[in-house]
Order: sequence, then C-alpha cells, then structure tokens
Amino acid sequence: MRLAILLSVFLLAPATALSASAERAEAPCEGILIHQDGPFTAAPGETAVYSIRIANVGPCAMEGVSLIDYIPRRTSYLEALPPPASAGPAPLPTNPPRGRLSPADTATLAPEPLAVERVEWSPIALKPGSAEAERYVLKVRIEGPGSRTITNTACLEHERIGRICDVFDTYVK
Amino acid sequence: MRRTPLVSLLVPVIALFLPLPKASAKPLLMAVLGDSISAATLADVPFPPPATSEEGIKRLSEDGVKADVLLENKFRYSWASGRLIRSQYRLLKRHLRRSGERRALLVYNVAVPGAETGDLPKQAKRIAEEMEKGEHDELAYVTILIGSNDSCARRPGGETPIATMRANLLRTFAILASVKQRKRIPILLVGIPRIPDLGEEAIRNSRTLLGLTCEKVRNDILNLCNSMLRWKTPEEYDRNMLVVEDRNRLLRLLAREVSLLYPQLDVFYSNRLYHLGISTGVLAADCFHPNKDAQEIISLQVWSDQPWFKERKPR
Repeated sequence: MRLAILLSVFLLAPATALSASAERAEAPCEGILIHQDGPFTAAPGETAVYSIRIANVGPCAMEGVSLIDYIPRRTSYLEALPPPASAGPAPLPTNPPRGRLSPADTATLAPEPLAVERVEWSPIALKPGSAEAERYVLKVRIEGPGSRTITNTACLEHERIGRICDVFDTYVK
Repeated sequence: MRRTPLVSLLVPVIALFLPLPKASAKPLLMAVLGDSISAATLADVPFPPPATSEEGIKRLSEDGVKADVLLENKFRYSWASGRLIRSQYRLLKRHLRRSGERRALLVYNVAVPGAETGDLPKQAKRIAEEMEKGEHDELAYVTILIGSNDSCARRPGGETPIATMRANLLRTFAILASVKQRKRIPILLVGIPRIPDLGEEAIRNSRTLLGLTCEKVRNDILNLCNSMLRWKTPEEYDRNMLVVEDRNRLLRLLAREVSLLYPQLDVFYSNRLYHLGISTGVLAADCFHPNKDAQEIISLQVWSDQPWFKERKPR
C-alpha cells in the first residue's frame, strides 16, 4: 500500500506539472502603499499642507511610477516638495493604442478652461522591501468664500499596479 | 492470492490516463447596474452628428427606451458591457483567460437611461433573481455607476437628498448581499463625473444637431440636466459642483460601510470620472452623454482603479 502511494506521487507529480504549464502570467505587484495626512479643518486664505507617504513593502522593484495629486477644487497650488515634474491642468484623456492597456492619460488636445488641476511627481523608483516611506508635501491656498468639504486625492500609477489612491477630507469653515 | 498490492499499484497509473475533472459547466456572471452612461445612450451618435430634424430630436427625448438603438447601446458600446470597445466585460474576460479560468463569462446589463438611486433596488432584484435561477456558478463582478440623475433636478435645490440616496443604495446592497455564493462579490461603485463642466461656455456654444448650439439642443429642446448646466456665474458653478462632490463623498463612505455591513460584498469606490476633464471630443450629439470613444476611456480608466483583477503580464 505504501509503495502504491509512493509510486502514485512520483507518477502524478510530473503530470500535474505538465498540465499547469499553460501560460503563466507575471503576478501584479503587491505591497505598494500610499497614505495621506492633512488638516481636518481650514479657513479661506489659509495654507493647507498635505503630506503623502508612499512605500513599497512588497517584492517588486518598481521603476517609472507616477505620484499624481488632484488638488481640491477652489484651492490654489502654492508649492510641492520635492519639486514636481509638473503642476497645472491635467491633459484630457484619450484612448491608448489597442493592445496596450495603460492607466496613464495621454494629451491630444489643449486643456479646456475648466481642466482638473493636478501635481505630478515622476518618474519615481520604489525599491522592494523598503521599511521607510518616501514623503511628498503639497501646499495649497484655500479659496473663499463658503464653508464646504474639500477632498485631496493622491494616486500612485504604474502598469503593474494600475492606480492606488488615498484621499483626505478637509472641512473649510 | 492477494490482489490488493497489484490493484494499488495500477490504480494511480490508470488514473493518469483518465480525463481531468471538468471545471463547472456553469458560466460566471458579470452584472451592470446604472443609468444612461452604462446603457451607452447615444454612444454611436457622433458629435457633430448627421442631420436630424428638430421634430426627430423631440421625439427621441419623449420616446424613452422605445428608441432602443439610439437610447441604449449596451451590447456594443457600453463602458461596462460593450463588445466593440475595451469594456469592463472584455477586460475581465481577458484577465480571467490569462489567469487560467476555464468557465465562460456572461454579462447582464440592467442599467436604465434616466435611472436614479431609487431605481437601483429594482435593478439589483433582477440580478438576484437571475442568480437564483442557478444557471451561473457565481456573480463574478458587478459595476454600479449612478448618481448623475440624482444630481440633476428640474430646479436647483431639487436634487435627491443625500439621506435618500444613502437609503436607496443601502437597500440595493442588501439585495445584492442576498446572492448566496462562496466568494465575496466584487462591486465597483463609480462616482459621478463633473457634470457642471458641460455647462462651460465653449461646450454650450459648440454646434451640434442641425447646426444648433449645444445649449439649444441639450437644454432648450431635450431639457437635459438644466439645473446643473445653466450656471452663469462662478458661484452657481461652485454650488453645482458641490452637489456632485457631496454625492461622490457619500458613495465613497458608503462603499466602506457596506463592505463592513455585508462581509459577502467587497465594494470599491472609484472617483476616477470626477478627475477626468470633459471636452466636446468625448461627447455624443446631445452634448451630454459620452460617445463611444469616451465609453472606452471610462472603462480603461476605472479598470486601473479596481483592486481585484490586476493586469497580469505574460512571461
């Protein structure tokens, strides 16, 4: 009986390996983290400072990552640290060529007057297994009048992770 | 004579030549709930459009879902279920194939043009009833894009109240949670786009059907979302954007709440549409709905946000 079980293991194992040899895909990257912090309240005219921390605690080395911050509406961009690659209206999205799926926006038209304002840091390299988070800072001026809740959205984008975002709400008094 | 040792030896050898057990023959189901965006209303009527009589335009707005080809294009151009664009359905199919999934994937799009959150429980019931038939192995993916019609009103201040939207959505998720299956149901809840941006002067004054302006066709004749689009001052624009933002915040917070309330549901909120700028290049001839290019843009953009089916590159 023991011999039968042993033999079946030796005979079945290669068969299993063969059947699993269908196209193996590279797994998407896990362990990419983003976290935001900022003021819970602010008043018109004040400067709101948002702190964005990103980390790669997973196994993938990531090159060419973009960190994009969509600044809250009715705030004005003041400064970002480290200096970003771009700050201003977002390009309008268009379809990437067929056969290639990418989360990145590609500009084909001039921005419209009501374009979405954003700040972009890129390219960023994220080393695998980092214990320390990298820190990015965004400063905006809160425009008045009117009390409302504003939301700052920060997203990491890369084809191996798609888009991972974190948001922070601030109440404007 | 003892036959047992010989039989024990032969059984695993014989087993090698037997066919592997088939995966369940029942297909997976993807469900689509929502409004005219998911129904792909007018997706195939380009901007600028071919000539159409003014009477024809009025009839279109009154006929509702009777004008199936124009008012619903779910099979071909819906961002969620369309076969002729890189829709969620096609992207999911590709992902499943690359992951070695052998079950077929079907899609059931129950979105209705004009639907508000109050209409979602009915749509969810249709999905639950479809699953109840037992013809599908599991509900593999659900998309819900809703809120635009709740934000539009006959007059400013007439939008669906936040509390009412919340109650409507909780009822919807309760119905979806009644679907019994082993795996959690992934639900992508997509936020409302920047509707007031459509009232921007450059779009309002663009020429569309019969050479009429977008404002004439969209707002005077078709009466599409006038409360959001007829703003004249920055203050009015701001007020209208706050309507959208407050409702998107509700959707975002509700996604988290529902995932805790119903462990069998895994709801993820995407705010991607709110961060996409709008130009006439992405509009259908009514200067309101997304054309087929925009439907594909919507799909590709929100696909990047969903956390379950991350793109796998072949080795």
